[in-house]
Amino acid sequence: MRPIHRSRIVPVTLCACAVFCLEMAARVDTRLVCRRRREILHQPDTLRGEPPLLTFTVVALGGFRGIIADVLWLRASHLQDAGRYIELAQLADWIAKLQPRCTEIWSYQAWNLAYNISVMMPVRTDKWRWVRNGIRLLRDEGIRYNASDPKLYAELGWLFQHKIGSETDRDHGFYRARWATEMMELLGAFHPSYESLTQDPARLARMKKEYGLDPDIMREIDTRFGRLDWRLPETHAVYWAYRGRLQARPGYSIECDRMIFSALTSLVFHGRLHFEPDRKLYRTSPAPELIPAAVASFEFALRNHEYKYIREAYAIFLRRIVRLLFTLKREPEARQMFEEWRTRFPSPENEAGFEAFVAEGGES
Amino acid sequence: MPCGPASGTVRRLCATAHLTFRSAVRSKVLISLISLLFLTVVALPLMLKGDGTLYGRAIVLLKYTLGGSAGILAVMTVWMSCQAVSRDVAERQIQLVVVKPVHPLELWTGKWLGILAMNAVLLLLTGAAVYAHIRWTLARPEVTAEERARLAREILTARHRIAPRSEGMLEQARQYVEQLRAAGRLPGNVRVEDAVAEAHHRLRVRRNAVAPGEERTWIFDSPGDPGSRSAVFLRFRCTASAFSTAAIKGTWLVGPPGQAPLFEAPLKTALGGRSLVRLPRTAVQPDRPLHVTFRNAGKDRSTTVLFDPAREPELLYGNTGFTGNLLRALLVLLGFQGLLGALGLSTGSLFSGPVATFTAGGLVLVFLLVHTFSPGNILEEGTANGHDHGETPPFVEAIHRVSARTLGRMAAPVMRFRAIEPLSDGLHIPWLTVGRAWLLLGVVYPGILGALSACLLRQRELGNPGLL
Repeated sequence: MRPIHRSRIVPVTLCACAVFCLEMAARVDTRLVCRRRREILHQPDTLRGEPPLLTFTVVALGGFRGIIADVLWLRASHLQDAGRYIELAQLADWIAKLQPRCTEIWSYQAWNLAYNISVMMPVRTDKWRWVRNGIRLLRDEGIRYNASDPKLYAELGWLFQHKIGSETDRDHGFYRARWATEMMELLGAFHPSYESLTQDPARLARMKKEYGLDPDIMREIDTRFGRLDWRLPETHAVYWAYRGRLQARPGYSIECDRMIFSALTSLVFHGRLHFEPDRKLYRTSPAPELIPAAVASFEFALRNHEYKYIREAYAIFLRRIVRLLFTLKREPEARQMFEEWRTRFPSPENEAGFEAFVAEGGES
Repeated sequence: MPCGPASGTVRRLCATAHLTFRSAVRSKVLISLISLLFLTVVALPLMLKGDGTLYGRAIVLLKYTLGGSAGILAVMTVWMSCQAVSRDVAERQIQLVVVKPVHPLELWTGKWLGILAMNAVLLLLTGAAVYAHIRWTLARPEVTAEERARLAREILTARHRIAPRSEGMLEQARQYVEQLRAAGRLPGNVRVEDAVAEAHHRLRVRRNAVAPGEERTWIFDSPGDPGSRSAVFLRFRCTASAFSTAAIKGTWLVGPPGQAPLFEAPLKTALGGRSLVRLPRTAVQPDRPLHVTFRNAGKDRSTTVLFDPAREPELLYGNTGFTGNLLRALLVLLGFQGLLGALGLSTGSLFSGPVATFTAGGLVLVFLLVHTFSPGNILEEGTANGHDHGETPPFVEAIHRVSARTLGRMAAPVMRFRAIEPLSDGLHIPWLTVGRAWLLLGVVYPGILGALSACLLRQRELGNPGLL
């Protein structure tokens, strides 16, 4: 028998070890992927949608991604302190892409751009650009890589509802007007004509690519909640929260459900838009026709989540609705809502009856 | 043709450099790194987004493409230079050289020149690619005239900078600390230079805080006649105690003191960001110093305007052209590569290839870390901003402090040369800076390292079989 040369034993043993380790790793990986899928931790199958560079980065850098991400965080932090904001959008994009499955990074970076950086700008157009950068980062990148995470949809909805829709930013009026103008240009009116959209592939593509708007889901929302004005940021908050809810596994859609009822509440009070860009007129008025949808969204949230604050929010909503309907001279409906309020949420405020409550006055 | 010792040295240097260059070109690792460099230069600009504006994209393009390329070249240089001597020793080729009348210093310098030549070629190609990309971007039809003008005005330019005149704050800080010391109020564990630095910093912060109703004036030397086609800009950075730009009411006034201002402009800035104010030609008198005053017209105490004490307002003027500035920036970067090459060659003269690469790479990393987390940021215990580190023994603290300070001092002369930041800021890089950079990075440090390496090479028994 020919003796085995000693120098061959080592490589052969090493190769056998490597094959064994690979086999073991493959078995563990298969089980992990199955478990991830079962627990809906993330979608390992959606890797096909990622750009090659991202896949390369994620696979090739392996654990070193963390170190690079740390260096970029340090640089971003230093640049922000030094007031050199130009590079921050780029760095935010890279930092998030180095850890694309970490949703907190996406939401933090988007929030930082839309809130912290935008307020530093001297000109409103620059502020708006940074708000858009935050929205774009979440909508075009974050959600793309974490399509099953409802939190990111809720974060995006929050940017629409709070950053653009609420009055916390001094320039909210400018943001709202710019958004309404863009939507007018995109949809042709305050509400899209879904029939004509199917015959306009260019517009359809723009809606999907630039704004992430899916006409089928928009139509579903309109059917479910009523005819919403798509120029309003709150409507987009509802849209993104609704999309998040569609992706969430049962019991994990709390952020989206909250977003839906709070955005619908806002739409009930400010859901009709009178917008004339030429005259710089942007006014909203109540849309009481959305009350049933808002009530239904509260009821849905109450059925699915046992959180105290949903009940509190619902009680406050009903109280405000009674005043709104009374102010709008819709007394029978106001009484009906009052009864609902008193029955569901008895309090010193409503125990004296409808007349006493409306006589007391106060804001709606 | 006469052939003296000098021409012989030049011939030997050229021959060694040529051989080093050729061996580098044939190296597979180097080809991989050059491919990476090519990707950085060609593919990276296509993936950059910036902040959504052409201006932002151009800044990011300049910084990251040039910075990334310089980083790859640095890795390449360290690797190549570490291998240059150590491989010759390992492969016994050095024995063929040492028996010839080639001085070790000539060998070292020849190899260094070869590495430098390789870097020069690659840096030139990188610079050309970046320049071509910017020109291509500018020529695209979707770029508006306004964007093009802003780019030309703020980035694709090379403006001179004038800092405000010194107000003797350092001297005042020294006097203050001296008074404290004389009165016995300076704690024994606080070093005088640290106390002076702290007092100086606080004084600068106070002087640069402009409360409502207050004024702050900076005096600049006149930029002379900036020329009919050149504008003068005031660049500043400020923030405010109020968290909104709209709350701040302030005015810039330019003109001699006690007279009606020649120019007035409202404060308009991104809070914390750097802003430019264009000064009209009438406001700049060629023969007189320029008085620039900021007046805070706010009434609410919460709208104090705080100018950055580390970056006081400055005047920018003139335009010496972007192309020349890019070339000068590349030359400074080449100087850095020269230093890295010298470091790699020196460690390669001492150790085997892997050990030399590890040592040189480690040294570079340590210096970079020390520079990034500079000793200035490492607070002393017992000072106003210091804090107790708990369980760390005092001697460990002391070692940390001393080593960080020493390394910081060693790194400081090298790190003060900047190429990419001024280039992307549209600031002129003077030939004087290039010369100083080359003197230090290309002559002094490599000279010292080369002389040490030559001594070591002479001492080392290169024909010893134990080395093989």
